[in-house]
Amino acid sequence: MKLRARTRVRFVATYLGVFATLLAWWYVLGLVSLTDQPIATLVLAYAVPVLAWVGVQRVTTGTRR
Amino acid sequence: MIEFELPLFLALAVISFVVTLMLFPFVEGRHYAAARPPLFVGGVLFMPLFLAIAVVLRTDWEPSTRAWALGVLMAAFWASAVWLASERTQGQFVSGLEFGPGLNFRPDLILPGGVNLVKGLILTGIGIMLSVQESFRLPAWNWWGFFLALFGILTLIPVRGMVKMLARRSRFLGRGARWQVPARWGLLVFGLVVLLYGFLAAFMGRVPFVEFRPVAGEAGLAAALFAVSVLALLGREFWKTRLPEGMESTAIRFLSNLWLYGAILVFMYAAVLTFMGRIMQPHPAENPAGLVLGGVLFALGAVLVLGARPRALRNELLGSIRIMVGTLTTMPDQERWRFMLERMRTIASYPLDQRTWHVAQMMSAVATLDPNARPVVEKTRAEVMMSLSSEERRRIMECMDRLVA
Repeated sequence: MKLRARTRVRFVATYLGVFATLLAWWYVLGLVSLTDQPIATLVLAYAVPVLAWVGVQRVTTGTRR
Repeated sequence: MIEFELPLFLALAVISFVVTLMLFPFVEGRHYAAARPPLFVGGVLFMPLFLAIAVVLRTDWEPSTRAWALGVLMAAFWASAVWLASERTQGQFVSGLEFGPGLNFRPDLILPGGVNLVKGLILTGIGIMLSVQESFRLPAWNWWGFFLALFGILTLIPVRGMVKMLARRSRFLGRGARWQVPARWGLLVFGLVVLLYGFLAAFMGRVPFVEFRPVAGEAGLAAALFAVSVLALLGREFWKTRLPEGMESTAIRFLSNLWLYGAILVFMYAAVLTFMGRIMQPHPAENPAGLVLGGVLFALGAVLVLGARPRALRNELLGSIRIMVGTLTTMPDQERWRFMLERMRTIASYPLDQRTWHVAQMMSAVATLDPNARPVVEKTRAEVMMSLSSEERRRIMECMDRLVA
């Protein structure tokens, strides 16, 4: 499996995007939890992986525009 | 107050790398879903749920609120491991992901069994912690402990998974297998030590390497239990080498995981004795809530290791054969011929039932190949049949006759 330079760049960009998303998710979860809103915290906790799942499916099956 | 701590960034860096590596479309393009089915993608995307669990464990909410919120998060934590046991988790062969003869970059072939083991042990461990406390108290959290535990997870899932994949290819080609038992056992024990120490430190809220140290109180009993556990794990690895690969019954696969789970429970209790320094046992009168919640989490963990994992490992084996046959289509002619010759000779050496099973799986795998690529494999198969000794050929033909009949 030999990767082209362009693929490597895309991999690093994706990695940074995943890192930023997880950090932002953790931070917003922390902020919401400080407001003593357990339901909102749990909804956000589930929403991000579910939306990411839907997003990956849409992108990889070519259903996005 | 939300604190940005160094180990949080380190843990996020590791998790992000693992998630990216497993989901990044290296070469698949429009065939992405064939190599990474939706169930696999979902299983990967729910792994970072640890972040939400950490947030809930660090809130100032009432203990009862934190307990049910933790339960809601644990439901997805558990379910995303259970669905990995489905046979729809392993995909089909996709060209371009090869990294060695007969090997494909396929995390879907190693993730399910490993995740079921690791998540099962985490749920079991939390269950034990909650059950043996004298008063109800939820686990604490520290990022250093979790960061350390990540290396236990990496050892048990991807590293041990890849070693098992290489070992399986060696066995399939009839090559020497002496290194396999010590390698699998060593990685299992090392991974367990790191995982347990990391999570114990994380859930106790202590900073490891500095404050979280063994206590001498029950050192003798703990050492004896550690010895029993690691010897039982070693014995299991030797026992597994005597099983006919592919022909293990459901009962044998369950027994294998029961043996694994039992030995690790002893290992866990030895770890508890080591760091608590005293015998720990349930207190139903003083802490009924802890016993109930702990019991539920323990049961959920047991379901993963004893119920889901045997099924996941079976699917991994079938998927490995399917993908291995797919890689034949991308090999140079001479290499494909040599690879298939070794494989057929190994199959010919098996007892009849096992031989028939492997021939059937190989034929099924060939049938799933792209119609344009299939003739290449079928042609080499015919050439290899002619290269076998007459006895080897007879043994293979005997299986084919059985399958046709």
